[in-house]
Amino acid sequence: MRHEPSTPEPSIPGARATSPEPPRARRRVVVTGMGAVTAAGRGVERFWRACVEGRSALRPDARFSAGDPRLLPLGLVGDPFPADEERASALALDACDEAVRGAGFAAGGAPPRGAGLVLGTCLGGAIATLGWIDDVERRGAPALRDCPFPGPGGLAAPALRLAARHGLTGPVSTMSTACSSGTGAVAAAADAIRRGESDVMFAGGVDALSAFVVSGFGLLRALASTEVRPFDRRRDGLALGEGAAIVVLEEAGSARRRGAPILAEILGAGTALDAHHMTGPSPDGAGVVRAITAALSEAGAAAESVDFISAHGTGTSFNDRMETVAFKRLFGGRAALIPIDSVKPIIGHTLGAAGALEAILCARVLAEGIVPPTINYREPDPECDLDYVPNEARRVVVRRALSTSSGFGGHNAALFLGAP
Amino acid sequence: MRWVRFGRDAAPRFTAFGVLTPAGVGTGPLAGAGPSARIGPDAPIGPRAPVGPRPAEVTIALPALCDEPPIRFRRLDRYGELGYAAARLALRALPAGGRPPLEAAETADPGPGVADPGIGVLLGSSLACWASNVRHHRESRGPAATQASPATFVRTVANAVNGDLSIALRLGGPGALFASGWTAGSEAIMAAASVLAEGRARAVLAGGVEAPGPDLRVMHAGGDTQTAGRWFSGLLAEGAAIAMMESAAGTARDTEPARDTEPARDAGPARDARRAGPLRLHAYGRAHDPEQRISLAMLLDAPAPIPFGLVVVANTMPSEFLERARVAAAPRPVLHLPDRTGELGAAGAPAAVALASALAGAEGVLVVARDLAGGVAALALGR
Repeated sequence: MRHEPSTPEPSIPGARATSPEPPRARRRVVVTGMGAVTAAGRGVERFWRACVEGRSALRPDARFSAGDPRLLPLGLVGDPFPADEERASALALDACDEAVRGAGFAAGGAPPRGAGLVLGTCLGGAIATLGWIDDVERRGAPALRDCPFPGPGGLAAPALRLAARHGLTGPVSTMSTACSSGTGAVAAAADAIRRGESDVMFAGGVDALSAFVVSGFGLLRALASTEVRPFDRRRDGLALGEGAAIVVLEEAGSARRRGAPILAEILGAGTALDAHHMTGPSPDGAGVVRAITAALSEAGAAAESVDFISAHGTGTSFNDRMETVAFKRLFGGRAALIPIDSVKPIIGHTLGAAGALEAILCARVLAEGIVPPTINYREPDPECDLDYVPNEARRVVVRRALSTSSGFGGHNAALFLGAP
Repeated sequence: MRWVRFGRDAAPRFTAFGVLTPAGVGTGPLAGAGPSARIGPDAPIGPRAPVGPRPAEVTIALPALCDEPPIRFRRLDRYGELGYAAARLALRALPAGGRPPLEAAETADPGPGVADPGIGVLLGSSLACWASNVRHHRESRGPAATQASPATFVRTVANAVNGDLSIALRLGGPGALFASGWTAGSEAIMAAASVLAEGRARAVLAGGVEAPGPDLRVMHAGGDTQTAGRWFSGLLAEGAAIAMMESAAGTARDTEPARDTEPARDAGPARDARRAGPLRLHAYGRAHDPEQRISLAMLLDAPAPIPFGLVVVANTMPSEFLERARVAAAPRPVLHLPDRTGELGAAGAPAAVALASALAGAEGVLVVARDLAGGVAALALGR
């Protein structure tokens, strides 16, 4: 943990005042570091290789299938983490360490003063807090003093751990918009840089698997029975995974001045509410269309400039059909020409981490010119008739990439990234 | 901390509030003023009505909120009820012509229809759906897990309130739920202001909701200062405060102050406040300050475009901090909101903004939110 000097920042009384308008004169935001932990292993490279090679890291597992006799495919992170660290925090810390190293901060120590964080999550550290409830119930009310409350945090616990580890003194925020949390967090962090609140922001998402989540999706009958098959006619649900992804975002000029590696640029982002149903997406894809439109508008880009789409692609009947409808509405006849992929069959649906992991995937696609495949795709669905890059990776020149996410509550988010 | 300032022509307006706290419905009870009491920046601060050991709960009198309880209301947990009711209060306070379509959509399940992309829902909550989380956790343990309720699981997403409001009111603009502790409500207001200033929406429902649930309240009511009391040093309260924020672009309502459903009081300063026009957010700043180095004096020196006449501290502060704050702010009064409502968490700052709307005269109001885990957020408000 970095220690601050005893005097507060000179900027506190307002030496730096910024204005959010006009929107088009904004500062540019680039990605200078990335870190990931997934079922494919620790590190962005393992995640990327698994995606490109079409190698699923999902394994049948009964660990969290309380009351359900089925062996469900799950994307559990197998690497060991400190036992005394709340699991979501441990995953996020690991991903963040990699991102910080990659951004070149390691040589000079901690990130610069005033760096901030936006972390997306569905549950954050809430599972640990629920464990406290169990503890209290076991011991009974009179023994409350013997059951130390896990402290502030809950949802915000992983963000607070990251802030403490890296000595962050800028805006530190937790965003929870269900499965679009990671995308929304990257968007919010980019906004903070554009508004001048900070020159450096960490952003990403995290969620750890638990019986709480697995049983919930089981109750909703949303889980795949054997394998995840996004956009395939036989798709029957999603597989849950866990993981974390952190990107380091910087104001472009500042990043260039310090010689930071520039991996991608955040060109635009948008969020929109479906206004349709708590768990089911709007069949006409209107919310996704609005989110993408907002992202493209912020970037000042036309729909024709999208070269690749990392779809939410959960493998549920409703989601995949809805996304296909949305892409057709937005891109018209060109929709069939845009390579679209889903990484959910590789690492599972990592909930709050998903959007951030897919932002990292987009950055790698932009850098490598390779689009990972959507695996387990064998039987085309007449209602999902776009190019999902079935089963084998493809070399494609990609200059602009779009990532979309949707979540419970009708939250949709889109990120539009460009090559550096 | 860097401040984000809005130009004179871009400062977003607060055009209506819906406030539910243990003190009552609306901002009047927050001001702690009876019909004849003085309210306003020059009003005496305290002694406040003691909150005492009674449960810090909101009594939602549905008939007072709506003629016919919306169907959606029956599906909600406490967190959803409070958020929905507060938002509805805010919308009802808007003039009919400026109100999003309400009753038609919410008295039945909305069928196919077009959502208004110009209105967003940005909220903050520290504990969010904690009570539903506990319920699902208990239901889904052990061999009976397959008998648990899927409806409960649906309520375990923190952004459920945003979803409810979006669906019922057909709001299709930007949406987010901030869960950054007690400063999350301030963050929602900041995000809304930026969304409006950048033209990404023309209006936003923004604010905070807290529904601590029985477990945390039991913990707290036990006076267990060694554990829960370490973190929640005030009386943990439930409540919601949601504002309708609109872009700075002028409308017919430009000359009206924000309203809530509490009958307007005709005391001098409040009357002046109503004549002074709507409250606007002129600037904001936020930071992570776990060692509490940022003092109120530093915030008061911030480059707000207007002088502050009142400071509202939205969250529970140690008495030493408050004493220092009062010295720093003098002769301006410092109002400590938790003394009147209990600790409202992320709903504290939005409630404080609503109170500021009722109290502020020509001078500005600084609303300060602070989370004991490190978050600090300041909103510079003025007419």
